[in-house]
Formats: sequence, C-alpha cells, structure tokens
Amino acid sequence: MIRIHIRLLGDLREAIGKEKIEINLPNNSSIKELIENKLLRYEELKDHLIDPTTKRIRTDIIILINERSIESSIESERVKDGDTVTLASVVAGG
Amino acid sequence: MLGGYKGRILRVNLTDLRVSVEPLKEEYVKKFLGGTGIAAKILYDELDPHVDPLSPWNKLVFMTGPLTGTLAPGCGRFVIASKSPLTGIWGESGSAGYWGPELKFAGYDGIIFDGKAENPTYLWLNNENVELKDAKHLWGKDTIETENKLKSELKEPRSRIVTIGPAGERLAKIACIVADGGGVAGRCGLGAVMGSKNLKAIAVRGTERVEVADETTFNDLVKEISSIMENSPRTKSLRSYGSAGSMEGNEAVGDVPIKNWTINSWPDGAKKLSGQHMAKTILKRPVTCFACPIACKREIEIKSGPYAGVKGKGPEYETCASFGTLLLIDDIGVVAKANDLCTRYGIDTISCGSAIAFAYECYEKGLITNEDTEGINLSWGDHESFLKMIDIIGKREGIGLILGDGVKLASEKIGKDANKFAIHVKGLEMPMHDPRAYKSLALGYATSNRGACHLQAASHWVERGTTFPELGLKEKPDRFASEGKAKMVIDMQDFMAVIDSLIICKFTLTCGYTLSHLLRLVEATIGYKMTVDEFMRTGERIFNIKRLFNNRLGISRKDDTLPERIDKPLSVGTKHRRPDLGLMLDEYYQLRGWDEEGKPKPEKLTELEL
Ligand code: SF4
Repeated sequence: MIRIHIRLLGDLREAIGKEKIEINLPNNSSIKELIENKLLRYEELKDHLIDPTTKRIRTDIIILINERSIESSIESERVKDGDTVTLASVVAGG
Repeated sequence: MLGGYKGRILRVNLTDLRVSVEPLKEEYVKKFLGGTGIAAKILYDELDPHVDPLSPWNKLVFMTGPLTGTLAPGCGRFVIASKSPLTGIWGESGSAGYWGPELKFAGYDGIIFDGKAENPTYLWLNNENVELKDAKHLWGKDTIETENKLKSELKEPRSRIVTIGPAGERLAKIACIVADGGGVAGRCGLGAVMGSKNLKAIAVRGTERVEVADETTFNDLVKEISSIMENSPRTKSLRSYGSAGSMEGNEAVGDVPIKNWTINSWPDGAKKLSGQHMAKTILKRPVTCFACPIACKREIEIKSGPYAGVKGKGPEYETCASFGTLLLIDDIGVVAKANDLCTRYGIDTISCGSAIAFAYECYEKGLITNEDTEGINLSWGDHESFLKMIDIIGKREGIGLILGDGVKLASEKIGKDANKFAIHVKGLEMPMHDPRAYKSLALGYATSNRGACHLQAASHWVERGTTFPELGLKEKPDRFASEGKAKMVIDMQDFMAVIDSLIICKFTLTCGYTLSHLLRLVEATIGYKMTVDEFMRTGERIFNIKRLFNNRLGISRKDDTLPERIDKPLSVGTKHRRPDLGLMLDEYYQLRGWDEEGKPKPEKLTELEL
C-alpha cells in the first residue's frame, strides 16, 4: 500500500469542502485508478471529473504529480508513496 | 436580405454631422459573414493604410453578426474595429452585453464612423430616428455617470449605451470603450479613436426583432443547445465562480504571469484572487448577457474594509491577474476597486496592469525615480501606489501620461533597458496566459493580427484538453511540444475568426456548442447551408485579409516575435519551457501559404478570392 496526498483546487475543493485528502492505494496504481477508485467515491466530484457525453474521465482537468503536470495518458502515469497529486478543473474564459 | 441580417449599415461622418444608410453588400455577407470579417473587409477596402489612427481620416466600425440579437445562446456580442492607435496596425475589440442586439433591433447591422466632430457629440439611434447630439455636458464624465445621465435625459431607461470615459477623451492609447455599464471592449485603444473623433457615446433603442430564415428549426435548435448548456458542469462552474474560477488551476500549471512575468508560482496569491474566493467575499450575484444561460459576469459589492462601497461589475480572470498576480497584489478588494476605477475612466485593465507592472520594474531597477513618479513609491504589492497610478493614467498626469500610451511607447520614452520590461507583441500588452506554459500560445501571440492575444486562437484550450473533434482536434497534445503546433493554431485561428464574425461568445464553446450546432444554426438563421470546409475557408479568408491589412503597414516575419523575457524559461513551481518560435513559424508560414516574410502568396490570395 502507498499513501498519497491529494490537493484539490478551485471548484473541486469547493465541491467537497476540503482542500487536502489522504488516501491509500495499492502499489503502482495509475492516476486513472486513483480517480476511479478513490475520488469518484465523492458524489460531488463526479460532475467535475466525468465527461457527461463520453462518461469517461474528462480530458480537460489539470493533474499534477508533485510539481509535474500530466501530459501523457492517465493510464500510464503511476504514483508512488508520498506523492502529492494536485487536481483542478479549468473553464474557458479570461 | 438573408435571414439574421438587417441589411443596413449606418454611415456617420462626424465632420459634416451627416448620416446615411447603405445596404449591407451581399458579397460581404457571403465572403465575410459579419462581425470582425465584414469590419476587416470594410477597413481593408476603405482605409488609407498610412492614416494616423487618431486623425479624422481613421474609421471606426461597430459590427454585429447574423446571430446577434437572435435567441441563440451567447449571441449578445458585437465587435469594434479600426486602425489601432496603440499598435498602429489592425485593431479590434469586442464586448458582450446587450448593446449589439439593441443595434440590430434598431434596424442596423453596423455603424461606420469617420471624420471628427467639432464639439463633443453623441449618437442617438431610436429605431428609425438618427440624431447627432451635443455631448459637451457629458465630456469629462466617467462611463457610469455618462450612461446614467444619457438614459435619464433621453427618457429611455431601456436604451443601451456604449461610451468612453476621460481616458479616451484624453487620447490615452490604452483607453477602452465601455458598454452597458461595465462590459468592456478593452483591447487596442479604440476608446482613444472615439475620443479623437469627439464621439462620447452611442445610445441605441430598438424594438424590431431579428428575423431568421427557418424559425421552427431555429427554435428547436436553440432549445437543444440551451438544454445541453444548462446541464453542462462547465456552465455551472462559470456561473458560480466566473472566469476567475480557473485562477488556481492556471497557476498550478505555470500559466499565470506573476511580478511582470518573472515568477510562475504563487499558490496563496492565486487562491485569494480566485473566483471561488470572490464568491465567498464580495460577489453579490452572477449576471448575464443577452440570451446567455451561462451568467459568467460578476456583480460585486464590498461591504466593509478600506474599499467598502465599491459595487457594480466585478473583475474577470484577466483583471484578477493583471491587477493581482502581475503586481504581487493578493487582495480581491483592491482589485475590484481598481477594476471599477478603470471602468469609470475607460481604461483596458490588461494594458493598464501591464503598464503599471512595467513602471514598478523600471522603478525597482532605477530607470525611473521618485522624481519621475512625483513622489509615489512604486513597490510591488502596495495598494496605495497602485490605485494612484490608475488615477494618473486616467487623468493623463505625470508619469501616467506616458504609461497611458502602453508599454511599448513608454519604454521608448524611458529608454535605457526599459524595453526589457515592456511585455507586448506588436505593441499590444500580453494577456494573462504564459506562452512558456502552453507552447501554442507563443505562436498564437506572435501571429495574432491585433498583437498579443489568447482569444484569437484560444489554442491553449486544446492543450488543456478541450477537444474539437469536428476540426480533427480529438486529443490533448503535449503542451510543452513546439513541433506540430502550427496546424492546430491555424485551425483554431480560422475557427475563431468565424466565431467572431457570426458572433458568438467563445466561452460558450466549452459549455456544449459544437461545430455541427453552429452549422445548423447558420443554416436555420441565414438560410443557406455551409459545409465544415466552407466554414473554415471563410475563417481563413478573414484571418488573411487582416494579415494583408498589416502587411500593407510593413508587418512581416520580423514583427512576429515574442518579448525577450518569454524566451527564458522559469523554473520555480511547474517547470516552464522555452517556446521554439522559429520552428513553429517556419511550419506556420508554409501551412498558411505565406512566403518566408509572412506575406500570403498570390496563389493563396486567388484561392481565398481575395
Ligand atoms: S458566457 Fe459570459 S461573457 Fe459570454 S455571453 Fe455568456 S454571460 Fe456573457
């Protein structure tokens, strides 16, 4: 098991009223597994993380592992013990 | 006339105080659609390219599009275009709100101004009645006072007003035009063009609806799109937190410029300047524009503290960054106060924040001193000096006089190394998205026809993961890659050129509008079918005619650049990378069918019927 610090920004934080969550995950878990198995348990995050048309994880959410943003697929990106994963949703505008 | 259009353009010569109505040419409609497209065609054909932008011979065009004033969601915008006094090249700016639809209801697709009135004047359009009226009593008044006074003296509380403030009257080159008490056509200094013509305001009242070609199909389509938008989480997000709701996410990826583009990480500052923080502190309610279900605009009221009493339209993302992070200010109250001051003076907040950040850095490096600032200590993050700077820019006093002409001219006047701190492209201050965080922005800023602009392409949305499958943009590309970005930027520039011509608010494009909706809307509104190819070809034509406008003024590859500072990556927080602009430009010119100097080749012009 590994321990991951989750940091939620903007809308995501407001949706569940918490900025930081600590979660445990099996070793070598991917970002996709982190979202599907842990974050989607929060009903209020579903709207923000799931695309209403494709019913899959949105492609337009910002995800960082520590300070590196995820540019490749969320299936291939893996987390390790002690990582901080930051998530934010951004909208068009400005 | 085709559906959607009124078929009439009002021409106003302010020198002779003469007005005439002319038909909207069908050729313009077929090739350029409306909005920015038709404005570009008019100015390209009619304007002596070397005209002084602040002389009576410059022209100022206000244009709507075929969708403006229909009930299609998000179609309340209008466009203003001219030769820009800030950049000396193609200038355009748009505003949402209600004024554009009202112009259509009064029976016009657009207005072309030229000449210069002898005395301050305003135009009053009340359906068929057109009057040029004395505005001496309004000269010197701020934009909010002007709007209120006009509505009461015309006894038309439902009239819609665009006006300039004291900054435009005094020809500040970063002056904007304010619509509906706080909607702002900010960029390119077009408020100074109005000021140079002694044109204080345009008041409009109209009661005639916009007819569409196929009303049943149109209404069904509007219902379909509205319902998708209403249920989109992005709509809810924009409504709850406005465009500044993205502040923290933008900061996390190094997109938000901080301390005049020298820092790329400030999470605490971003949080305090976010739409979420605004919602908990000063937000009174979300407000919307004509027929838009999103309601991303903010109405704020500050009830306590040093800025108690400030109320009205609240700051958007760009302003939260240009008056916040760019100056190391993390107080949403002072940002709202500064936003209100700029609305009243009629100053573009992006250019204003950039000019002040530029001055702070010049002061810090000793290029200007207390003697130049008349005793104002310019220190990063300080509220008092910041608000004083806005005042002197608005009043054109002291150093505010040169800062009010934008960072490019100010840096030339200050000399020494000042140009290093002047962050602009072609004279237009950069908007609040960092090309070191999204590589396509580098190419977009360098090639945008009005100078640095993120919305002429909005290609960073694609790099953030927004897909436009009908344009072939189905995957999120690596935001740090320079290779292969040219095609995506071109597609997005051409797409956005049509969006600004039809005219639809771009924010709606991530809340449910698809290209196929747009094509169906065009057919139901105008009455003819457009294929995806024709749609994109129209955008390409519009983009290229603006490039031709600029080429005539000597714009070429040497001008398609970025500030030196942006060539250096920052390494705090999310790592930045240097954009490889040379590589992207080579690919871009080739795909655009331009020569090595950035001029469209003759065969491209033939292909585009230009
Ligand atoms: S999305 Fe916002 S700015 Fe655009 S039309 Fe709607 S309310 Fe106005």
